[in-house]
Order: sequence, then C-alpha cells, then structure tokens
Amino acid sequence: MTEFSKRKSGFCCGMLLTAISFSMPAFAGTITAELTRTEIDITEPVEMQVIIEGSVDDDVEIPVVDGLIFQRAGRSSQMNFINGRVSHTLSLMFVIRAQKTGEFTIPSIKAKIDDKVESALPLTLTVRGQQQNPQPGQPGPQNSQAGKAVVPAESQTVKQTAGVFIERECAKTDPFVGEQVVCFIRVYHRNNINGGQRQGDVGTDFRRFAVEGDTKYVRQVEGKTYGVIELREIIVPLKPGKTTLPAAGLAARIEMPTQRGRRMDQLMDQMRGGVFNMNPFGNEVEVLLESNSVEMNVKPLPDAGKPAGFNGITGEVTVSANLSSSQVKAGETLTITINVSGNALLDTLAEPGLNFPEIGKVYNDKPEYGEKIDPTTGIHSSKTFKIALVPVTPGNHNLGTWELSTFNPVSGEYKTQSVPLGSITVAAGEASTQTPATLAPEEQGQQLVKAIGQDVIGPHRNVNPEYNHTVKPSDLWIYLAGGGIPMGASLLLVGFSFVLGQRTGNESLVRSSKAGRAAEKLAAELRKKLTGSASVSAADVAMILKQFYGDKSARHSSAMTSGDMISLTEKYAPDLLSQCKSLLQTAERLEYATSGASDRSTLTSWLTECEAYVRELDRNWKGK
Amino acid sequence: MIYRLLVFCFFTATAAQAEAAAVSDVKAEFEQALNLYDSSKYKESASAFAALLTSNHRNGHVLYNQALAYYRAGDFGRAMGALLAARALMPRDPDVRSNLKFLEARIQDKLSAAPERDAFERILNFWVGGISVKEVLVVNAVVGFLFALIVLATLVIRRLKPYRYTSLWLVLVPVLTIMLVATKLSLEESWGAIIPNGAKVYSGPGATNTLLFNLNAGAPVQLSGSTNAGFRMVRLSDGKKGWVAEQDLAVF
Repeated sequence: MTEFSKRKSGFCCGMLLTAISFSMPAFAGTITAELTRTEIDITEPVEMQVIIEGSVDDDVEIPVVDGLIFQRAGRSSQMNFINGRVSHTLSLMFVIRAQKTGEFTIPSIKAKIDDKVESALPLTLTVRGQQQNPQPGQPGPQNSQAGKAVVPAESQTVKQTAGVFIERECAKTDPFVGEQVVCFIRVYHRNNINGGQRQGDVGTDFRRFAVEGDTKYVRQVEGKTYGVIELREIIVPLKPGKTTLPAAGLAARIEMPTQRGRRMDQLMDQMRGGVFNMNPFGNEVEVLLESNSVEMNVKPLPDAGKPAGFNGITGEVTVSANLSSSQVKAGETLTITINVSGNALLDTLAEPGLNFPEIGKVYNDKPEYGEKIDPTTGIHSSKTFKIALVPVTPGNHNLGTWELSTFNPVSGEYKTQSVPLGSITVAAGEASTQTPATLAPEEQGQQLVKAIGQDVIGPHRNVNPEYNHTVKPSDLWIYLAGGGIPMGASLLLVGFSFVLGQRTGNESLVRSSKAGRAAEKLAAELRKKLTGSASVSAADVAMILKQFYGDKSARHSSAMTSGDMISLTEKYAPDLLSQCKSLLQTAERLEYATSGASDRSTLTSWLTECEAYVRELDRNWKGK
Repeated sequence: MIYRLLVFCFFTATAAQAEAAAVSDVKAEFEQALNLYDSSKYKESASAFAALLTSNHRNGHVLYNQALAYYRAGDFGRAMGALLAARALMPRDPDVRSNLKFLEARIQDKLSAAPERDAFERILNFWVGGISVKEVLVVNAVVGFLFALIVLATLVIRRLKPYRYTSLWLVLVPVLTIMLVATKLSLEESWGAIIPNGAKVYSGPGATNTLLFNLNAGAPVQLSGSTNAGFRMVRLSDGKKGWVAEQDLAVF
C-alpha cells in the first residue's frame, strides 16, 4: 500500500467513525429530583425522590443544607425493555427533616451517569411553624401513630393485596357542625397498582365533596418504600356529637407477583410494566381495599351570640344587593338581585323572604347556585336570588335592608352582615289608581294577561262548582247499569241464540238425511191402504213429495207448494226438473179430477211413480 | 181529582225549589270564596274553597282556585298539593298544567310533578295522564251500552240478523275499555306536596330512623298507601323514597 493510499484509508476510516459516532443515538442519562411537598410544618418530614435514568457510576452525593437533615430512606432499581431499547432506572428516596422555619433551597443534585455528570434542578422547601388546623388544600398531618402510616396488621390481607393498602385521615377531628374539613385518602402501593375506583359512602351524618386531582409521592413505612397516591375530599359534618366517618373503600386493580425467590421470576416481575408496550407477564387482580374509619367529635354551634333567625351557614361569605331600576311606573317590574358568595356551602341557604305589602307584589324567581372546589381554598359557592317587585303604590319607597348571619368556625363567632336593598321612586301608572281588589274581573283578566309567564294564571270563575269530578262508590252502579249490564245481557242473548241456532241446524240436518226413508215409509203405508179397503186420495199420494221436499228444506210439509218444489228441484237436482213438473201436473190433474175419487189402480201406478222419483231425487240431491 | 192534582203540583214545586236552593247555595259559596280571593283575603278564600269539598264531592275548579289562594297566601306546599289534586280531576286543563309548571320552576328542590316511568311504559300509557278516572268509567259505560244496542239490533231487526254473530267481534271494544279502566286504576297515582321548608325524610316510619334527606316547601311527592305511626311513605320523581310525617304533607 502506498503512503498516499494509507493516508487516504486512514482519513476515510476517521470520517466513517466520526459519522457513526454522530449518527449513533446519544445514550445520555437524566437525573430528576422532586419533593413530595413544598410546604411543611416544622414537625413534619418530607420525602425527596431522586430518579436517575442511565448507569450511575458512583453514589449520588446529597448537598448539605443548613437547617435540613437528609436521611436515606430507600433505593429501588428497574430495568425496562421499550421498543427494543434497554433502560435502567434508579430511584433513591430521602427523608428530610427541618430544624428551623424558613425557606430553603436544595441545590442541584449531581450524579455521574454514563460517564457524564448530570444535575437535577434545585428545589425550594418552605418550613412553617407548627399549625393546629391546616388550610384546605394543604396536606394534612400524618397518622397519629408515630407520625407514620401503619401497614394493616392483617398480614394475610396485605399479602393478598400485594402490599397495597389505603388509609383515611382528616385534618381535624373536632370540627363544628357545617364546617369544612379536609380529609385525605392515601393509597400506598409498591408500584403495582393499575387503577382503582372509589367505593362506599360517608353515610347520612356527613356530606362529601371530592377534590379533583391527586398528589403522588413516596413514603417510607416500616422500613419499606411505598408510592403514595393522595386523594383529597372535603367532609362537612351535619350533626353534632361523637360520630364516625366510615372507612373509605377502593376497588383497586393491582399486579400480583407471579412467583418469588428465583432471579428469573424477579426479572419477569420487573418486566411486567412493558415489553413492546405489552404486559404478558402480569397477573392483574381486582381487590377491595378498606381504610380505617375516623372518629370525630363534632361540636354544635354555640348558643351564645347566635342571632335570631340564624340559618346554619358556616364559613366566610360576602353579601351584595342591587336593583335593576330605581325609578319605575306603577305596574312595571323591577328586579332585586341579592348575591351571597364565599368560602361556605350555600346550597341550603333559604330565599330572602322579602315582602313589601305596602308597595306591591313580590315574585321570587328560582335562585341560581354554583359551587366549585378549590384544592387550596376548599368549597367556594355562590347563590343569587332574583326577586321581582311590581310596585302599585306611587311614591318614594325605601326597600330596607337584608341581613344574613353566618358562623365563622375559625374564630368561633357569629357574624351578621346587613346589605341595603335601596330605594325606588314609583310614578303613577295606568292602573295605579285602583288596587287589584277593586278591579272588575274582566280588567283583572287584562292585568293578568300582561303578566303571563311571570305569574300564575288566575282563578276559574264561570264554571260549575257543583259538578262532581270524582266517582262516588254509590254511583258505581250507575256506570254498571249504563254499560255493563246491557252489555252482559246482550252477550247472553247472542250466545243463547247462537246455541239455539246450532241445535236447530242440527235437527234440520238429521231430518234432511232421513227424508228418503220417511218418504219410503209413507209410500209403504199408502200402498198397504190401497191394497186394503182404506180410502186413499191423490192428495195423500202427493204428500209423499211434499213430505220429502219439506224434510229436505227443513220446512213444514203442508206449507210446500208446487212452486216451492220446482224451485228446490231446480236448485238441488236440476236434471230431474222435467220429471218433477210432470209429476206435479199429474198430481194436480188427479187432485182436481171431476170424476170424483181416482180409482185405485191409477193411484197405485202414480204412487209407484212418485216412489221411484223420490228415490232418484234423494240420490241426486245436491244439498244436505 | 183537581185536589190531588194540586197536591201533586205543590210537592213537585217544593222539591224543585229545594233542589234549586241547594244548587244556588253551592254557587253562592263559590262566589263568596272568589270575592275573598279578589279582596286579597287569601287564607279566608282558601278556607272557603275547602268548605266546598267533601270526600264524596270534589270539583277540580274548586281545588284549582284553592291552590291559587294558597299560593297568594305564600303557602307553597298546600298550593302545590291542591294543584296536584286538581290535575288528577282535570288532567287536560291548560291552566292547571301551566300553573303546575310555574310552581315547579319556583320550588327549591329540583323535582317534577310527573311520575317517573320508563320509555316503554310512557309510550303504552301516554293516555293515562290525559284522562280522569270518571271519564274512563263514562267511556266504558257508553261503549258497553252502544255495544248492547248494536247486538240487540242484530237480533231484532230482520235485515241485520245475518250479522248477529259478526257483532260478537264488537265485544272486543268493551273488553278494551275495561282493560283501559283497569290500566288507569292500576297506574293512578296519588300525589301530595311538602308543606314546610326542611321537612325531614327518614328511612323508616319514625324520627328515630336514619335521616335520608330534607325536602322544601312545595316539593311534589308521590304517595304510597303505606302509613305508619303518623308517617307516610313518599316517592320522589328522581326515584328516591322515604317516610315523611303526615303533618308535613299537603294531601287533598
């Protein structure tokens, strides 16, 4: 290789390495530090968490701050595989205790990560003097047992919930009735909680208002490090005396460890948070956690100094009032607006109850109410009353003042605020010379038309007050008689006629089916008479035909006429129509013969002819 | 004969006069109550209207006027109670409906005087709220009578005889009206209203039970038939239930 080619290849390699080094992703680590709280009492400790991402070469050095004591509280590490990359995370916990009050600055915490010195941002901590009642929105005091949360004694329960538990604590356990008390629900976990839902109620002795959002920090409990999710709520006791704030419930989804002991299982447990954003190694279960209950001694509002008509409002409020107009005509409406707002619950505040009988009529509109919960100031509510006044008496009128008494739980004293409602000048209007009572009903109606939508519709006048809109028990029979009885009777009648018709129909059918045999029987009787000495007439022989047709048509035999028989033959045996006509002509000739009774031989042959015809007719009859 | 006729006329006239006198008494009292209302003597007016009501004779217009008198007197609770009773007797009266809406908008509690029913029940029984019990009974009686007339006609009139069995299908109509009566009676609700502000509602009959919530004057409540120890079970339009002291209820 020549000198030139060596230099060329060296230059190219250098360029290549430089390009590679620039193109490689920078694996720089990060360090962050945060305090769980930025304001504490001098008696309270505070936790500081330092999170380092990347490989730490040396131990982290904590700066020295005059007036603060730092104490190591724990250490945990985690390895994650995310999108094909491996990252290390180291969490260091410190407990800081203050020796004096004041504002402290914790300088940047530095660490050598991946051979580079990285530093976190400085932190500020404010230490105040010891307070009895923490302000709403501020973290409350710790559990009374040695200032630390206590893991529930039932280790079995703890084991079943993989170390997750909750505690309930209130900033004050001896509030006044109606006083806002900040309470905390702290969920302790070991980074194994995936979510949860609040369960349970506070009962009827309290009102509960949830504060949005939560605070997360780390705390040491009995030598173990727990992550804490702190939820806040405002509790307002409703009744005085010793009472118990029930335990809070939480339906939590937690990750249960798969197995214990082996290094690979521990690795799997650590990986349950994310492998390509999946959780194949997790074992999530839902458990119901219950906190401790809180005993409270709710103090009644003092009787001393209680103003007459005190309505139970506890807190600090401001009252204001204004008029929509101070100059109106009689009959015109003006609106008095009274607004009450402040750090108190005003939803139960009753309407002002204003009444000005000498001036005019008062109509109360529905009050407007709004409330919001501020994490720092608690419940702030506002109630606005709008009262419509329709003055009818002209002149200058002073509407007086409106008073509202409240109780301040901090000072323990009552306070009455009086707000002037203002004065109005009422000029004479169209209807000002007459009071409503002297107006004629028609004129009153006109006045009422003017006020539609702003007032009730007037009374009913031209109506019949005697009409009974109800049904007396004794009158029920009238409705029965009017409708039920005729209906029932007609149903019975129809049913009866139906049954009767069915029976009649059946008899007709039977009679029709036996018509042929009846005719044969009659013919045999006549033949017997003809061979004997009994007299037989042509009419007797014709009766065979009449009887047959009568049975077939369910009619009386003697009522059958020639026309009827011809019609029936035409309908049911049209092929035998000519034969029928011929027989009937013969019957007429024989019946009306002038030579007297027909001789027996003629009658006998005619009888035979009728018999044969009837037999044929019966066979060919096309009806039932 | 003439004497008997005169006696008959005398007694008939006397009876008619007595009837007319009774009629004019009620009307006179009604007018008197209205005069008291117009004179702004609302409490007296309400009492006068109440005197016109008995357990067997209730007039919707009297109850309506009584409600207005209570309202003017500032008694929200009794005003709402009387108006609800007027609604039961005159469900389609526009003034009753309008004033009910007016009062609902002015009560402190966010409650409605309409019963809470699911969509299916509302669709199937949309007519229940628009007709009173008496009207349903009258319709039922008229339909039954008409049915009887038609059926008898088919039995008697020769030309209609072939249709006498077909007329049996008409029995579906009175059967339907009987079902309507039964539905109306089963869905008929009794309503009342709360009289004082802050009336306590307990979980059981008695003040020793758990206090559930408070209700304010004018809150409309559905009454159940259960009463015990001076308490009555009520149901609100938002589904809540509880027991209220009967003295706190305005039931007309």
